[in-house]
Amino acid sequence: VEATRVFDKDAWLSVESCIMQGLTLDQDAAPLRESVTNGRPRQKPTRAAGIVCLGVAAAIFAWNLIIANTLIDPTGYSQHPVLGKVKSAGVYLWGEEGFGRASINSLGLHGPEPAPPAAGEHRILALGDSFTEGMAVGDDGTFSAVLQQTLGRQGIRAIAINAGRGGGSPAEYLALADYWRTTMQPERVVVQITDSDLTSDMTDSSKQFYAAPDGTGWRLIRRDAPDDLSMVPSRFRPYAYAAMRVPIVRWAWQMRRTASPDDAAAASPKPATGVPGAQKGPLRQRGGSSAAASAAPRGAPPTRLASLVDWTVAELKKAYPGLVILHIPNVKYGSPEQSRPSESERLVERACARQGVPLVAVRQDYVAEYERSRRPSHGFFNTRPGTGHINTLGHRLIADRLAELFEEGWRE
Amino acid sequence: VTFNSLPFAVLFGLTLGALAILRGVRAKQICILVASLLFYAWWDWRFLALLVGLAVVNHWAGAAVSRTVETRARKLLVGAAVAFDLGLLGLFKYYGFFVESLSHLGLTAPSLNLVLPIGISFMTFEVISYVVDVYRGDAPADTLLDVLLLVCFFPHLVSGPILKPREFLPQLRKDNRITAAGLDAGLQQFLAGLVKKTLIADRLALFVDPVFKQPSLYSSATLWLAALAYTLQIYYDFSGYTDMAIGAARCMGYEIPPNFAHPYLSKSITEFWRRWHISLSTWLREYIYFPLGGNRKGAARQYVNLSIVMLLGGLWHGASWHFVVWGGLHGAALAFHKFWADRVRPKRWTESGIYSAVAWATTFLFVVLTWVVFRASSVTAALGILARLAAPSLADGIAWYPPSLAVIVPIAIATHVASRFRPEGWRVRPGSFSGAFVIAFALLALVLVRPLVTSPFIYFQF
Repeated sequence: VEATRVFDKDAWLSVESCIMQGLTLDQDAAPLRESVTNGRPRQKPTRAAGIVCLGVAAAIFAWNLIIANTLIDPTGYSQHPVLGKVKSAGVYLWGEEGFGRASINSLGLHGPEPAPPAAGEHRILALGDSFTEGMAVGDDGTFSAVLQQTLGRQGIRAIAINAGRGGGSPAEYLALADYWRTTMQPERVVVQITDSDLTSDMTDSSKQFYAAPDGTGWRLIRRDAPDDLSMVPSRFRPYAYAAMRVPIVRWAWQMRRTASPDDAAAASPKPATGVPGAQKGPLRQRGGSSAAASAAPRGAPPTRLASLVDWTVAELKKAYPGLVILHIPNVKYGSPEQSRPSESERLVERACARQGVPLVAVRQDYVAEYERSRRPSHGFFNTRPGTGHINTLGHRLIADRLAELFEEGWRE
Repeated sequence: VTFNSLPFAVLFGLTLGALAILRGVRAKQICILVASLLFYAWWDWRFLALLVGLAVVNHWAGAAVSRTVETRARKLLVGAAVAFDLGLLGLFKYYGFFVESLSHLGLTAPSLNLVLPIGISFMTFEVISYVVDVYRGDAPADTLLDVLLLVCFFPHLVSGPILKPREFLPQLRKDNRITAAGLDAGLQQFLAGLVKKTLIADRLALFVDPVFKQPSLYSSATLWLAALAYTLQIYYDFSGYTDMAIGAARCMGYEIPPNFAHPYLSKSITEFWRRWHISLSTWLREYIYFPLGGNRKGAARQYVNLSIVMLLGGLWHGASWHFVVWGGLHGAALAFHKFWADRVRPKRWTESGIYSAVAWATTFLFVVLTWVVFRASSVTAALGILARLAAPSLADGIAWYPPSLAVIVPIAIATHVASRFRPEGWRVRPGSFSGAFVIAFALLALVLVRPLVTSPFIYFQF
């Protein structure tokens, strides 16, 4: 063996090739498996495994570093006694749809700490979901921040508190009305509504707060705070929460969500061919498409939708004096129907007129701006422009409309 | 089943396990055939009859040709087989196109609305090359199992590469073994292909698809960016698929020749077609260009032959006029380059760096612009985009500059250029620190930063 090791490297390589090819070696050659590979002394298995583990650990560490600094907020979440799961206070970068620097206050809200009420100061509370929160928009770009600046320039002392929280719905704003009124003491309350609030989120029984049919009307239901980790057995949950503090784990957990059918359709340029992922069917293609059926709104059926909208606006009016409804539309920029209000939008307009609640609906502002500058008010560079959350332009157009409304009243 | 899906991973793992256990050539062949049929049936089992039918008919034709001595009868037999193959392709792929084109002329024909069987163009070319090779005496008539495997071999079944029967059939007769070296090389190449497809091509698709879906909405600068992005997307999508196919085959002990050789570094369109989709361009050369006379009948005839070959190549990609126009443009460019090369003999200035740079830039620009025709939904849409590209304006639509491109494009260019200096590809030693790091980093990237929407392989539609 020693002679071969020293003098005949080719022989060693041929032994190696025997090993690599899984051929049976004779008794004398068998020990070579443990000592030699590629003409070099083979490492001990434990040492080799250690080196591999080290390489894998370095890769995990590298990705953790990348994700923590680019893709996900490094601060995570904490529990609030009333609001439930809130973002932890801190400053971080949005990065998913577009890039923006966000300061999160102690209530987990995007913006500075709410100042206590002061004499001669108007207080505006903006309630909403991630649109109001200003997903992917910087601190100065949210409509609350722009509104406050605009009113300030007009000589009106006003504080606009951004209370937008990702995943919120009118059911949540109703359930937390006492908390917001007493802690923030707002003079005017802007409640932001989108179509999906009414067609799905409001009646989504998996949420902590939702509305359920009650005879001919509706009632508000509050259940124990749902949690992403509810499915984990309770005795393992502390470990799961600890793991969730690691950015790479939290990011992988977030990746479970599925993409919207709209995105999937956009990604399949030629669905009519036999491309995997296209609709399966008989050898002959069927006429028509199931797209219309799948695009139908989930949640309340149309007849119930009208009563849900009426009930929601009436309850919000009762809960929040000085209420203003803000409707943020879905706009198909550049299409013939870009100016056409949706069914929910029309119902909100009707309910607000009935209840005498001021409505700010910005569809026409968004369309006019798009026609003028070809800049859509939805979307960022990381996603398709015109889809997703509203961008800085969309926030500014909302702030302009709200400023007009409030200036009118407060100047008088 | 697609290579980037979990069912494929399971099917492939089971196949490898079975191949490691089985002994004997025949048993392994049957194992691979069953896996291949399952692979195809996962998409639509009803088209298995088409797949098997193509192989059976061409096996029979090949056997008959090899038994027949008389030249005329041999020609008749091979002609009948090729007509059968092209007839099936025409029925499934081109009948709708034919009916639609007739309707523009005011004529009508019954509409069948048939679904296009996945990979039918590749299968058809594969069986044609088999029966023609038998006729020419380049490949012996083989058993039905061999021919079935030549057509159905799952790594190349739906999107090629188109295998040369004379090179692949001998491999089928060998008792290929699964080896550690083969697994190492194969899995690394498969992983490289998966990274190309998932992290580069699919990420680019998130930008390219919406822009090409509604090009009139976007600014000229965005359209230029989308054209460049599609140029990279189609390369990384298809070469990623090919890498996965070659890697999967190598794991099982089979060698599939490379299909790409850094095409975007080409300095002429002729060079481009020697580097892009090599198996298709080789097939077109051997089975259409040479029979048409190639360059043996004078320069003018050669230019015509080149144009015919590329027109047919364009039509092979899809039953639509914009594919025909794309092929025609490439044919015209090939003919022009041949004309140019015949007249401009190598001189000092043609050897200079400036000449090379201009040649590369011209070739690349031509390829990018013709990809616009290829990707657009119609000739009209393509002309609309090209007009906007020719007359750029900063305020003529939505400006969209995805930040992800700022990461992907330099990586894509760097890897493309770097591969040229190492044509055999980059390999790592999995047992080393750096090897474990690279493999783990790539696997984690596939889990953590893959796009949420995966696009089908572009060449699946052909």
